Amino acid sequence: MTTYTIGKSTDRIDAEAKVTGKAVFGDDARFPNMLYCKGVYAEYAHAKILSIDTSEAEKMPGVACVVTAKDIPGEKMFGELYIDQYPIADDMTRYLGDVVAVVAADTQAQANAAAKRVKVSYEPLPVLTVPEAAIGNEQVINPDYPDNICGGVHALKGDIDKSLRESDIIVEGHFETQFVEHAYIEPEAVTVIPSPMRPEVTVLGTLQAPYNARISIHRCLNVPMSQIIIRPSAIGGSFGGKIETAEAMSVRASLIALKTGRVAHYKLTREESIVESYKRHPINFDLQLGADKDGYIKGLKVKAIGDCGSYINMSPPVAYKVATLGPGPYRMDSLDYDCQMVITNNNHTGSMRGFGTPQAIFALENAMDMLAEKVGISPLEIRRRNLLANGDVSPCGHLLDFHEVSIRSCMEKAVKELDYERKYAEYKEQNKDPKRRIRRGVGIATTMRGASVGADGNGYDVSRVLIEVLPDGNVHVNLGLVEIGQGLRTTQAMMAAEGMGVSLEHVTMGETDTSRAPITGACIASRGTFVGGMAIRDCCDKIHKIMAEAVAKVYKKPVDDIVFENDRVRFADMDISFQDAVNACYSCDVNVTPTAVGTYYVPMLKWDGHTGEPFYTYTYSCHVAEVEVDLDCGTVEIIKMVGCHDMGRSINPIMADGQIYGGMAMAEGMAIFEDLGLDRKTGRLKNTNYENYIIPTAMDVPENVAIRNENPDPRSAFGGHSLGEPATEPGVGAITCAINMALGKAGYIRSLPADIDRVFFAGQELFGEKEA
Amino acid sequence: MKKEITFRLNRKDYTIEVDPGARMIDVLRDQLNLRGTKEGCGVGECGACTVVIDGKAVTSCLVSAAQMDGRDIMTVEGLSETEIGSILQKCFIQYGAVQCGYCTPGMLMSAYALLLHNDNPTREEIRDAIAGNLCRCTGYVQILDSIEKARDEYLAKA
Amino acid sequence: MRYKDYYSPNSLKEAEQLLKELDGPVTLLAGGTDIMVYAREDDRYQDHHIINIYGLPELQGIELKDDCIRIGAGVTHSEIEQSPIIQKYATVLADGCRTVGSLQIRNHATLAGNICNASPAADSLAPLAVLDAKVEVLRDGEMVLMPLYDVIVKPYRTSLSDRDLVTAVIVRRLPEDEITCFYKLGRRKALAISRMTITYVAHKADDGTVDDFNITAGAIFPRPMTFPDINEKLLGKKPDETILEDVARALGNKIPEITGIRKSTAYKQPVCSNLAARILKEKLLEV
Repeated sequence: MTTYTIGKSTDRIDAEAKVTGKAVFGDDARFPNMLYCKGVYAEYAHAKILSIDTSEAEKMPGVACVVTAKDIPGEKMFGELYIDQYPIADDMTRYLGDVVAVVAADTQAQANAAAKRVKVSYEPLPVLTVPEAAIGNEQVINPDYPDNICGGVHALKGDIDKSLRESDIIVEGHFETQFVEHAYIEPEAVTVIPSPMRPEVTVLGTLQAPYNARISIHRCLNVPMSQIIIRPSAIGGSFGGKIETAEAMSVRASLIALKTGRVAHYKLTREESIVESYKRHPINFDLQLGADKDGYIKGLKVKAIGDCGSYINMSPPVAYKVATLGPGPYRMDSLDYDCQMVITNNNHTGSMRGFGTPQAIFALENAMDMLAEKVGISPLEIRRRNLLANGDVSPCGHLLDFHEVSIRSCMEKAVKELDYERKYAEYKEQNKDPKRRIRRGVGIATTMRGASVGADGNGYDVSRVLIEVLPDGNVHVNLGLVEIGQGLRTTQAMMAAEGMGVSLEHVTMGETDTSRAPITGACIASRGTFVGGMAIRDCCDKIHKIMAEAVAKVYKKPVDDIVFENDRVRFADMDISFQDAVNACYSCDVNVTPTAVGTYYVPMLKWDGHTGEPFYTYTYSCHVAEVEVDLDCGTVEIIKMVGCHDMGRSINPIMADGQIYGGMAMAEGMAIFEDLGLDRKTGRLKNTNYENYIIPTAMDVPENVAIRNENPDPRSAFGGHSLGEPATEPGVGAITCAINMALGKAGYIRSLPADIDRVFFAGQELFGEKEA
Repeated sequence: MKKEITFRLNRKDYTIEVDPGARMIDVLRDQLNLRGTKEGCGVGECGACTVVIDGKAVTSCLVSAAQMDGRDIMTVEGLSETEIGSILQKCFIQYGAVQCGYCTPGMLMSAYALLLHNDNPTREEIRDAIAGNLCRCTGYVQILDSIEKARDEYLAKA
Repeated sequence: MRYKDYYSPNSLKEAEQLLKELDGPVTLLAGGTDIMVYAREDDRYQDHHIINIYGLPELQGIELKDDCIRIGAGVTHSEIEQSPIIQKYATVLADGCRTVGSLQIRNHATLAGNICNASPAADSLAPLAVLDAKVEVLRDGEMVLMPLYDVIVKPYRTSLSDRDLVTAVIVRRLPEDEITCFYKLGRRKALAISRMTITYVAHKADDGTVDDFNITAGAIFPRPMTFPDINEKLLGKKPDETILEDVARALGNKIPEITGIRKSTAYKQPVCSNLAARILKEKLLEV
């Protein structure tokens, strides 16, 4: 396919505003007479609220109002898929991030001071913070789920018992992962502007899923959807994190704005953001991997239990991705992958880049290395023997005959770049010396990532776009998929240029605005480029039809072979400019409107709840990592990572590389640093700001390498499918496999993070304490 | 309480009344309406609020307003007017240093302060100079690349 | 921040005058990088007179004396790190200051402020301890010189009153051929709160025997301290593996001895010994 715009590195359309400080982020909105909000947080992770006394707070200087759940006129709960989250806690608190009241005052300082005067009396209830203990506990958190299990997915293929029975080798292991913070550098902030004319609010701010926010405000505040206008600001990072929390804030601030008639500005401090926001799911895996004596996998059996925290949030779909993508890109006769999600009084857990798979791949890939060790072959060889190829059937039963199954070339390119084979041999030899204190290791992890939401969202995986071609020849795109830093607006513009057959300078992107862009599924699940691109293609095709009709009338020529390409429109023996074709539409004797709504929905996928075609298409990825472990103190240094991804086609290569680099760094943090310090007695997080919630700095991230292994996907409009999440998902597996190789024992460290304490004690256990 | 302070900001002179104990970042953002400087943590750990005072990068969330008195301050809004700053901005755009953009102003200010004193920093020196600026999007590689490109371009011009 | 009132004196004299005249609690603000963080947590300064002494000319400067170096209380970590005097005659302090927080904080935070905050995790404190640091304090109109150990009495607590104004820190001037080492162990490579630091200074006489040695660990003990009994193990001897490992083990053993056995001891004690042995051997063994 010849392309004119896509596939070429292009400057981001928002970069100029961002480097000059002009871009308006969540906390940057200011209006005259604006109110500042402050939430009052729960004192107990689980308690009955006996009473809330706001009278003293209301008398404080500058206070305009104090709202509680009683002020919410509509439903008391919201949620994306499961309606169980309280924007303001009503009768109970379910975790320490619950907000029980919100104060609004003329200044932030006044609001902060008044918030301290809200008096709440509680009757504390037992706090459940361990999922295994919560299952079937007599203390129920959400009465709709009396066993505290909110859902799960059980992926099944073949006869797992038979496969394990027939296996020569069975590897078993228990793996545990931690809560992980999205750690977007911008804390959540929203500003709500009420209309003086009618019950209407305009919500600005850090909203990754604007149409969902609209539903939530509608549900809780009884405002017609058409009179809830969501206009996301520039968003300072999200990674799946600015959905439910920001929505709860939008409901609270909208309530205040409607009540007072004043603009309500509501931002979180970093500590509030960490206390309130949802996290990556901690998941415990009990895994059995069976193979023949040569290491060819026969079956995988996994029982996974995830901590969904106080609200269901995205837990069942996360379980879906764990169970369907956790088995990796490997051939296997049978699969039994059961993932269940348990309600506790911890922070709720939801969307975060990878959506359950970085955890599952960490468990699986370490088990793969354990298998290799038992067979007596290298981690590279075990993967070579088992990786899927064209025409294979995926672990969940999907026949992969519709695109290039490129996982093998992804792995080979990545290992070559790292010089894996030489290093593996060299370090393996060095590590035989039990006295060696500074040790190196290399690790590999591979994944196949389902693009978009998958069969558990059958019928709901929709994207829409409105494109208007204006009289000046300008192609104006209104698309509600949000820019969260990944560069989506730029790729959308590039795809619109390509699809419309114009150069990029003729495309303008409307600010995301729910009153302008038609309703669309959210910018989640690495679906923006894929489904957004499909909708753009559909829309361009529709507009081309309208324009062809106009051109035929004006030029009186057949247009059966009309082509829109590179700012030209060719048909019959004509070669006119795009502007000429636009003029034809708006000419007084024709008057058609070159405007259309494009729609795309992912075809219904065959899925019976356990097996079938869990996703429409896949991204194949491999990360390899080299680490150095110091047994004297337990530090791990990442020497280098290589990420090789088949994103189908990279729409904008330099931005695609940026996704890969960023994904690897995020994986590094999860693998070796990040820990929120949950106190299991109280449900309290100890590490609520960046001095002790440790994410990688520029000094910690090495000279990583990004490789694009592009095989344009026939199932996608412009050949590109997903990259955002694939860029993170194999990294933790690769790093921990490398650490375990350095320790000389595959699968030794099975809990995250592999931080200095854990690595030090592992070294002590394996090699004894060195005599100083 | 209010106190009058005088300082130079983005090459202009200011005399304003401030609460001397206010945070510099609040004075910039709310009093002077310069909201390019961002707050990410409020405790000097993320570097999003980095500004340059008397040629040195400082986190403005930890500076007391009174300490702005008599100083020469540069924020992201003034960068385009400087040679180093405008080259940095151009290279950040061109070489992929910007994703969500929230760390960008602080990152630019740290890079600017570095190039002010060292027109030929090594990649390691660049790393060191931006170690106090957290970025969750980019994995830093393209930020380092961009600053190196800016260094080369600035050197070539000099 | 909330405070009672706020003063920015133009000279040390004016500051002194304010300290004398004001009633009620006073907080001296130098760089203020700790105070601004505390002020964000609560209103603990709301009854305080804040005296901003940042940039007072009398508190600037690093001066080389015959046997010591005088560092003005207003000198920032960056200035110390970049000072040719410190780099030459108290290298270990430059190294310690280089790892404090971020560059942005080092550019604003002062060494004296670090001492007054008395955080056990402050990376400058162990180097100051091995340099026998003394703190020069303006107290009731007089200059008094106090050993660092007497100033910092326990974590986040000093023996200074709110009317005491630290004017300088005085450290040993080391010979140019002194061997010095500062090692920081953090959870990550930058912006790390120290898990532990290990610092020593040592000097070898012409015959290879050690005639000066002082070692300590930071972020471990409740106050900056040094250990003559450990130093004795090496003084007057030619370093060999056995002696150095003995010194390292003794340093590790100080952890349970001084802080009692805690959960963290299982990590800190062996790691302290391991790392001390490593860095001692690196620089003190003959090649």
